[in-house]
Amino acid sequence: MKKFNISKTSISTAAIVVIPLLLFIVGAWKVLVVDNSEVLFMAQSRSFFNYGSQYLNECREHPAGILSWISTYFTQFFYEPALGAGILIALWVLTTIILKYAFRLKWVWYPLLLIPVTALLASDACLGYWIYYIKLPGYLFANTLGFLAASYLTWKASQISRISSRLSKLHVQLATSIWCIIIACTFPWLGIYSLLALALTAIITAKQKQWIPVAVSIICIAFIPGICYNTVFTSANSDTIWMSGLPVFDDGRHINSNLYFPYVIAAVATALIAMIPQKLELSKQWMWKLLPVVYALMIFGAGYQVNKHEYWDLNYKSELAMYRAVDEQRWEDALSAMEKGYTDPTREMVLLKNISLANLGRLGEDMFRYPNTAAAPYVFDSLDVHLVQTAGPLIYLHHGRINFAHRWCVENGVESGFSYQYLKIMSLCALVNGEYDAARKYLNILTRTIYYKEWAEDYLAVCDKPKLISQHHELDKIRELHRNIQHDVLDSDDSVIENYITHYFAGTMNKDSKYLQELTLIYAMVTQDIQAFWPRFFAYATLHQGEDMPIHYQEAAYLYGNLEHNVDISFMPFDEEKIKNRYKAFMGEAETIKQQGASEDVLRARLKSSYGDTFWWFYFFCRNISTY
Amino acid sequence: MKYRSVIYILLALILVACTSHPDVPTNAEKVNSVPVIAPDYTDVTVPCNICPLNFAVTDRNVSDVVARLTAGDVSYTYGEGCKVMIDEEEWRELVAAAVGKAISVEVFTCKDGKWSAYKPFCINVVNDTIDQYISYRLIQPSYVGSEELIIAQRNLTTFEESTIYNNFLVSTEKDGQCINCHSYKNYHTDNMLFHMRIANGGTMIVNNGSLEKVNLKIEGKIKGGSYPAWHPTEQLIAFTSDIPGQKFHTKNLNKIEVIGEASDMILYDVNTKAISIIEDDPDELESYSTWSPDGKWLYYCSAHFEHTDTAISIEQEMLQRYQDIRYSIYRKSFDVKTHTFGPREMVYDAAADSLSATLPRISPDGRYLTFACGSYGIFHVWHNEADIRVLDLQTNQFVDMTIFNSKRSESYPSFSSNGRWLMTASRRDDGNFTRPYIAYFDKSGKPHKAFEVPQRDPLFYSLFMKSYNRPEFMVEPVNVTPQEFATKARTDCEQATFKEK
Repeated sequence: MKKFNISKTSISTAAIVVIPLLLFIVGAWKVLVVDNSEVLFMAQSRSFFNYGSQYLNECREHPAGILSWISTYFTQFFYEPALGAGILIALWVLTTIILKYAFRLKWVWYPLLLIPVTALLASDACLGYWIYYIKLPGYLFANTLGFLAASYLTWKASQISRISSRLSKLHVQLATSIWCIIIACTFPWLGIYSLLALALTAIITAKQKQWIPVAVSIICIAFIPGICYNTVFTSANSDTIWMSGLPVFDDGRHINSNLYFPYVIAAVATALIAMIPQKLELSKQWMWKLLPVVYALMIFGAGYQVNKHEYWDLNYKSELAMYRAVDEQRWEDALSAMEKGYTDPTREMVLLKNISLANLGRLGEDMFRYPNTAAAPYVFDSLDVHLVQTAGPLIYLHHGRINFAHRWCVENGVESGFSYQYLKIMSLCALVNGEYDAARKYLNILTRTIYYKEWAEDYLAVCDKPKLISQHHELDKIRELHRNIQHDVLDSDDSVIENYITHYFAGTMNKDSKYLQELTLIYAMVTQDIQAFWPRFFAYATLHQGEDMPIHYQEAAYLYGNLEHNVDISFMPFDEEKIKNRYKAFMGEAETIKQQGASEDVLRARLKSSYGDTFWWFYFFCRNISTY
Repeated sequence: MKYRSVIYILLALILVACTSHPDVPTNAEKVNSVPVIAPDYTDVTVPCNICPLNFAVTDRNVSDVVARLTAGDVSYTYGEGCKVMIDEEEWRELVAAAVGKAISVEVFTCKDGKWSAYKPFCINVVNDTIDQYISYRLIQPSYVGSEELIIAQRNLTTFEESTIYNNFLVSTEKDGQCINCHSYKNYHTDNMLFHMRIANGGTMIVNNGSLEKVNLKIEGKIKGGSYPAWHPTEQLIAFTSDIPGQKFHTKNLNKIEVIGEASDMILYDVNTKAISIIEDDPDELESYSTWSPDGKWLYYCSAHFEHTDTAISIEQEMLQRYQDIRYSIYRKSFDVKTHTFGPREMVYDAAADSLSATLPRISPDGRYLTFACGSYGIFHVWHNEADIRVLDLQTNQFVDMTIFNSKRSESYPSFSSNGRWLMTASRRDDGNFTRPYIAYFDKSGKPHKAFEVPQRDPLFYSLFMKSYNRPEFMVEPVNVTPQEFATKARTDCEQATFKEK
């Protein structure tokens, strides 16, 4: 048989390696940075890493804790999504190169190693709202670093198993077996990835017919988790300890096993590639010609699968961008981000939009120019998304409900860890509450981070000199609301933040703070409670004498005055064109459409195009909005 | 060979660095105050068997600190950045030289290259030892949710901490388990218990060294048990039986209010597994029982609360009138032979003083009653104004506890087995996280300044995001392993039976 010589082919090996690799890098960059930079930023802000031994010790108490510790270290670089993504992609490339040497593959097979790392990419890109609920610290890096560690341990096993000096075959097998035991000893640090390294070692040593390390690997896989349960950890469940290092996709009712699919692909593909004989070559020219086609199909298939499983929901991405903008008080950016979502926003988007408009002083003019309808967050499984767990603390903070903002930071922090995001809000809550020692604690923790150090040090000065808080104008409105919340009561939001906030503000009367008073008016309008509206409307007029009455408040007053005739609106100077004539046109058009026998839905849709920016349309067609 | 030499030199340097004692700065400017350190160990009184009191200077601008500790002829200096980390062996030397006297601590700090010398402070060392162990539940200062909960034990003579039980051993997520209320018989651990709730629920009891898991809930009769108190000599445990509920303050910094609706007291016989009712007056909220050291009295607290507004539920009325719920301390005599209780006697009418007294404990000599005292309610860990009070039962006079208490919440007091040390769960550090503080309570019944249980890293508490809940003294460690508890936790409960009065 004529042996095919690669160097004589028209397609070089370099091309076979470089083109798929470049396509992978470009594809991964597109998925991570172009499509998901806000997701990466959110993953970072919901993560936590702290310099010093204390955080390391806390991690070490859990199986695969060291993996989590390193993962959270790298996760912080998603603060700059391109940097974090670059590191992640570099680690993937490194993993493939190590695996290539571990399995002693010819370069021609190298593109196959892109399958497992593409699966890892998919596992990071398909999460959606799980980003709020995953409890594995540093999730986005954990699988990659675990795979990298497993690859490295396998590579070393491969090297040991091929020592060909003066050692006898038996001694080589014993040396490899000792390495297997060393790999097993990494289980407390790496969890399941240590078992993966053992499995891969078993495969590569089996290829060499070194049966002792194969047996040792299998024995270690079978027993090391149990040994660790009984001797190393006091925080591990015996049923699940072997899965240490993997996230638990438990939504409280079901385990979403589909989300493990990329992990299975990655592990199985790696194991199959490990089985490729070392000397396997393309012996026939047609094979060589076929290979690029196979790889092209593989790349296309992998790209298709990643694209198919990537979480694309626009509202979700809009929410993430809005959250970040509101957190950074970039109000206009928050409003711009809302426009990138679907026509029907989620309630989180609506609330963040209202916060932004309130801070810009444009609630009365613009609140209904933006959509106020309700779309449920899109989930692909039975995950129950709750506002208190996504943006609850931030929304409470910007409504001056400090105790409740703090509460939900703690509740969520207890569930999924005290992230930078929660520590920031807890710091602000403590500062606004005057709990300076508590604020100092949270801020001190944040000073031991890379990206929040400066922010924390800025506020630490307030702990030492509380009067400095008045120089932090970003807290002015929050403090104004908090100061003007008059009575303390025992209460609970029953985990439904929007209802609680709406009814609290709609039920509050305040004449001391213009800002709070306007919120009471706007929430009275949201509840569509006419009785609650009028006193707040008049209070607004009193507090804003000499100013123009914002258009939405005019709309509400004109509508309610015409609907109930309980309040004399004849003396009120409504805008002739924008209110009186437009209202007449709205009611007339509605009547006409109704007479045509149109259904409620048709009526709603047809009026939306002309009057969707009015309180009137909201009043008639946005009732019983469901929140979550 | 060269490389080996370098390695040896490096190792030697590391060793020297580890045990090095910095020089005291000679050009330091005197400051007429003691330094601000964390934990605050200035002028505290400590037992002769306590581990080193490592501390740190909290001024963020301080780059270096040197502390010179002197006791008699023994003197050492320490300093690592802003921390003072004392070698354990040297600490023992210092303590041995200071028993009955004090260790003098001089602190020098360096700020912007300039050294300052603060007024020295003392660490008083007494010959009274402290129980070697304490145990506590480590819990985030949570409201409703819980995740990882650990009952841990700490050796006070070293820095060693180990897990007694961790709820992650058996369940997480939707099958998550709550654990609480560890309690011991007379400071010993061969008879102890704690509760497991929700997943794998039941009360885990170590009965003379053997494990039992019991269901104390009896449908229609007993709501279950909480806040246990193990009789000092008998296999009997008094429990509160209640339905606790939580609500949240919208503005008050106390943040949480816990209200124990329909709270009664029950007695569980560990040998017969029978439960009988001690007190179940519908207009009284009885809770937090504790036995006198001779076992002849059961102390407890109770609040009188009548459901007067029938238009609303009792829960709603309790919420509206939560500041009217005030507990006083009572006691009932107990006949060890017949297991019968006498009528209740008022010990301290806190409600008459517009106060609420909870969590009573009696000193091992039976002379002192300590309790947490706030202006209302039962859950003083969330009441900033709550303090620890001590009543001398011989003179019926209150001990002046000013030096012991702080401006923030103090709760869960307990005496060491020799009665010389009083421990509290205090929120004095930051108002949100509970830490164990211990104070010397001398033979004349006088409290001394409390010290925070030392940690190897003096900044540990400032970074740690969990609370120390229900700190209890123990004279020995728990010997049942966490895995043994976990194995038992997975089994079904034995059902307790109800015994009529």
